[in-house]
Amino acid sequence: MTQRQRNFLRWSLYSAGFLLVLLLSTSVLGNRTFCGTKLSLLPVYAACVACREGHEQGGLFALITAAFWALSGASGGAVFVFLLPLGSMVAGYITSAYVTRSLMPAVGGSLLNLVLCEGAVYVQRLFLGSPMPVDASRLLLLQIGFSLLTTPLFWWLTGKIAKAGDPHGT
Amino acid sequence: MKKFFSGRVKMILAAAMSLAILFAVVGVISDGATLGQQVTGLVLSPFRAAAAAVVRQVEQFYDYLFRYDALEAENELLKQRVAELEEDARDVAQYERENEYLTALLGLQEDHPDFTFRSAYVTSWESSNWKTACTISRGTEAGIEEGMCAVTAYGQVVGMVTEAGPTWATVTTILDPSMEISASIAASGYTGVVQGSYDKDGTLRMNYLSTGAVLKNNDQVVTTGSTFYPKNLLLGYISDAGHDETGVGKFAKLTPAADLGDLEQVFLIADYQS
Repeated sequence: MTQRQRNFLRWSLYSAGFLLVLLLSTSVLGNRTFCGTKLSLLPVYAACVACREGHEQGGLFALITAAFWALSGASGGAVFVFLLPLGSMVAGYITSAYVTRSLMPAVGGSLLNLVLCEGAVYVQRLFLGSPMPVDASRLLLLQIGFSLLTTPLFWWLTGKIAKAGDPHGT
Repeated sequence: MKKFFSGRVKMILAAAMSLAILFAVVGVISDGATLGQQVTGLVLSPFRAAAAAVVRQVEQFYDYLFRYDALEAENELLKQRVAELEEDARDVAQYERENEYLTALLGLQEDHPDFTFRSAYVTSWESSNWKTACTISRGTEAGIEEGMCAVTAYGQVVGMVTEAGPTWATVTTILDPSMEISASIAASGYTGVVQGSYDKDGTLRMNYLSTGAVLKNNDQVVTTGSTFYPKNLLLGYISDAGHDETGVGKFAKLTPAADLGDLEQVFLIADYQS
């Protein structure tokens, strides 16, 4: 298998992973809450991909997935379209430039993405005067916390996918 | 930081900014589903349907394995309830005859809604904390349009179709705070507006009730009839009441009649005569 084919396979698998995340978020877990809050999986997945693949490729992937996410009718889509690539690129850059590629930087990147995206949606609703629950800030923190717990799963998944593009299988 | 801002990064950021502005502007000016959303919905429909089908099968298997006793007990309870309802139905038949007589006596035209239904399965739910909506498996190709009222098999209001694509549609449920439905208390006739709330227990709120309104727990609240909602559809039951923030009116908390937590199928009212 040539490197080009490996790259194609790897990015196809990342895209399939995104589809899985989308279906998990909407069809499987969409009607389920954990302590009153829903999980936000896309920022975690995008951060893991960016930490694996570097800030440029990760950022582009985040941009495409965020655009698809917004088009699928998810609320706060426009906010995600700008902030998800930005957060992913920062996470990917810090991981490749300053630290080793491991789970902890991915957790940091996921946290950054979650705070940026979900925090911005929260602030947007706050400033637009949209109806909010009384304990909205608590729900936001719980959402970030619970979503962060899924990072090891997505880090492992993206690790398996990344190996598909590595000719040495390291 | 020079390395971070490469030409490619600047391009991605510019594209992200442009797309974000485009999505925000289109979202504000467009009514219903945009072309992009329709195409994405079309692509996602089979995946959502497959995922929903798998989830349903897994849930059924789980129920069979771990909730058999509970389901058996529930079955017994339901049998008992059916017997009670049959008895109630006999009473209703008597009231209907009396009503017919009174209607004829007053010379009023009988208000007889004529519903045409379209059925659809729920395939996914909105994943945000701030919105309560679900996507259903049918759209404009099956005659589903924006503004149609969605109910359960028992005629309990679920919500309204707010976006529709060829093979999918979005139903914003009555729990969403953006929904406002003109309603009345079936027993006493007091009218108000039912709105979704962010209460943890998933309750609705009936606002603008008059100060003198007498509110009883478990009173049924039904639609009063409007462009979107036929008359007398069940919204919920009163569970609590109080004076509103202004002090000049009352509000009631309602337990929704429809069990949205376990919703699998909805029925859209395509046509009715008010």
